[in-house]
Amino acid sequence: MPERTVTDPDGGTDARRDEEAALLARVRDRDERALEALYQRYAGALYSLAYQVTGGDRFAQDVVQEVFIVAWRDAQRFDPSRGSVGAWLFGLARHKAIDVLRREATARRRSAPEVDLELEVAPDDVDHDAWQNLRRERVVEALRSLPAAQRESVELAFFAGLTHVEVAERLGIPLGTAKTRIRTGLLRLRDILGDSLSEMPAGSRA
Amino acid sequence: MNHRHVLELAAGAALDDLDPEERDAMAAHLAGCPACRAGARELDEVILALGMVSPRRTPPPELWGSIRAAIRATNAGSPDAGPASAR
Ligand SMILES: [Zn+2]
Repeated sequence: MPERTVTDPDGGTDARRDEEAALLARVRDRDERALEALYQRYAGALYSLAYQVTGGDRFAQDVVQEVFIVAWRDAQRFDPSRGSVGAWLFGLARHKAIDVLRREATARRRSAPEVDLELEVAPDDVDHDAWQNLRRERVVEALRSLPAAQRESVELAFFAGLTHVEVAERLGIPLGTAKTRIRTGLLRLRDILGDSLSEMPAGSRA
Repeated sequence: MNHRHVLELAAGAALDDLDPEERDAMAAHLAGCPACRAGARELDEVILALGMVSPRRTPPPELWGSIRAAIRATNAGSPDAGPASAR
């Protein structure tokens, strides 16, 4: 029976979660290499998200830097029972990106939601894992299959860096409606993606 | 509280959009409900998946060096850590 190694980044979801929780425990103990390992794994994706939200390289760098400084300083704030390290880092990045947008309010060109999820072939994709591309395609497809009202709200909240209050204002709907659309949209994404969220990396098993 | 409502709260939690009462209610239910805990984990994976969707860009190679310098400065400034050079 083939054994899945824990260090394999393409290992199953549980293995990945456990491994990353262990890395963060080492970060808590002031192990710089553990932080670097998390950086190697997530900096690209965090930077890409931050770039999309803030629209600039310098802002995106600030966001990534602040995320890893918080991870270093406040690693004990991560609660493994509440979620994965990766999702925690993305949550921090989203917050920091929103902060940056606040600070740079004058630089905001936000008359229209610039949410473009076209799978453009970025030059950086050359060294990008194939399974991540596959995963991306499936997620984009899932987003597109949401009812328009839900998709719009989820995209504004996640990719445009708007708070829930701002989503409601932007769409001219009550705050409660915005919250419901976002929550329902996320739940629906879970239903659509279902097993593929954890099954995706299975092909990498030896 | 029914499971569906708890999952809606978990979706709210995934984007950090819960008030304290909602958070407590969710935590109380999750503590005793493995099914909803599993659902909350999947929502977490959805957030992770969304995070991977942005058009891929590569941060400049010097970014890690600047982060490392910043955390070493943090170490030096914190009360329970020695001078940066000692690390
Ligand atoms: Zn339940």
